[in-house]
Amino acid sequence: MRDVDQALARHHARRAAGASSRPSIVPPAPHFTPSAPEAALLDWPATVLSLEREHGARFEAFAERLETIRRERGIKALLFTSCHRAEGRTTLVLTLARALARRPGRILLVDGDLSGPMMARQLNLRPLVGLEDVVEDRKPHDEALIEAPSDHLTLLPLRTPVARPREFLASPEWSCLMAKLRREFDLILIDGSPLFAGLNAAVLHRSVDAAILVHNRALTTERSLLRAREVLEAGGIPLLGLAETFV
Amino acid sequence: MTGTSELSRRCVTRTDDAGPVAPILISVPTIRFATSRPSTARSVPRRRLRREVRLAGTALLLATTLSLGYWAGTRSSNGAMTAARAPGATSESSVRHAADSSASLGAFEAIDAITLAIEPIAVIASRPEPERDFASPRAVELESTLLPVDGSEDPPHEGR
Repeated sequence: MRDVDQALARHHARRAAGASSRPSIVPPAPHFTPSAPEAALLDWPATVLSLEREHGARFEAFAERLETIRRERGIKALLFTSCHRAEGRTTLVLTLARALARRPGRILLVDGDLSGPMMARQLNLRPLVGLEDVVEDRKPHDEALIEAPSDHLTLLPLRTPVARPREFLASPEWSCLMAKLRREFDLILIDGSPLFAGLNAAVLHRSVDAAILVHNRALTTERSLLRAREVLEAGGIPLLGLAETFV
Repeated sequence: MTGTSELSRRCVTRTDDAGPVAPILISVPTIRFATSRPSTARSVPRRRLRREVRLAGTALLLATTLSLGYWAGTRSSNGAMTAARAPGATSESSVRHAADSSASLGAFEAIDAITLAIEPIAVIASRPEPERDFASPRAVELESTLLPVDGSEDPPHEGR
């Protein structure tokens, strides 16, 4: 699936390069004007603000390190996952997104926790169109994007849990959406589902370039971490490293 | 013995090979407070039903209580009357007594007076039953069956 995304991105880059070499070509007028992304003033959770206030230096260093890795490896889509729930994944992603948004480049935050979306709830958002509407009902993704100009950040939330996550991620609509988002943004942070939630097998976001495993020592043993690494490797997703929480 | 040492050697080798799972990119300490949003943090509101639902429930409860009380009162007064009446002792005097008491006790007792006005068992037993004519059997006529005027059947149905 990631190969499809990369092929589409390469094709788009070739077309863009070809168009730039021919300056006389005027692009055709669009048939309709796409609706502008919804602008919102985000209500950040107090946990995120407190983490930023007390340990902002750590997140700045983390963002700097990620920026270096991104440049070196050409990473565009980064998955944040964990072994179980309640390991601090969403809070960490939100705090990191604020640190990354202070740097140049367009950052997109995607709620990819298909079984238990929390991002909109954490930010006190009530989106009318969500990621599931774009993928399942084929609505334009511009309608689901929420622009936060004051935070220099764009969000793509989920409204409700997805009934069939495996089919959702295997659908061509999801691949097309990821290909579009890769072209429009410099870095996509996906707050993914936990790997071992319930009795279901892990449902992986394969349209990503790398993953970071959020790890709470009180909840997850080293054996679970090893198993998570095996699952990610089996899915062809390189593990960049661990993010320890509640230390 | 050899097998055990080989197994332990394999386990140690596997543990050593695993090493660290992945480099630790960030360690986030636990922050002090537990609430996630102090602006909206408030005591859990008391869950109450809508006012209309509460009023309807109260009215329903009141109506049920009243009707149960009415029914219980009716039953108890009936029972008292039945207990006071000895078998075969129903007479004009007792009926008159009940009628007098009903006039003084109000509307509830008026129903008891009607109950006592039913004919006594002795009267019902002495009433002659209507005579039945068992001597002349009548032909059984089934509904939705049309017989000829003279009562005879058609030749094909005479059973030959």
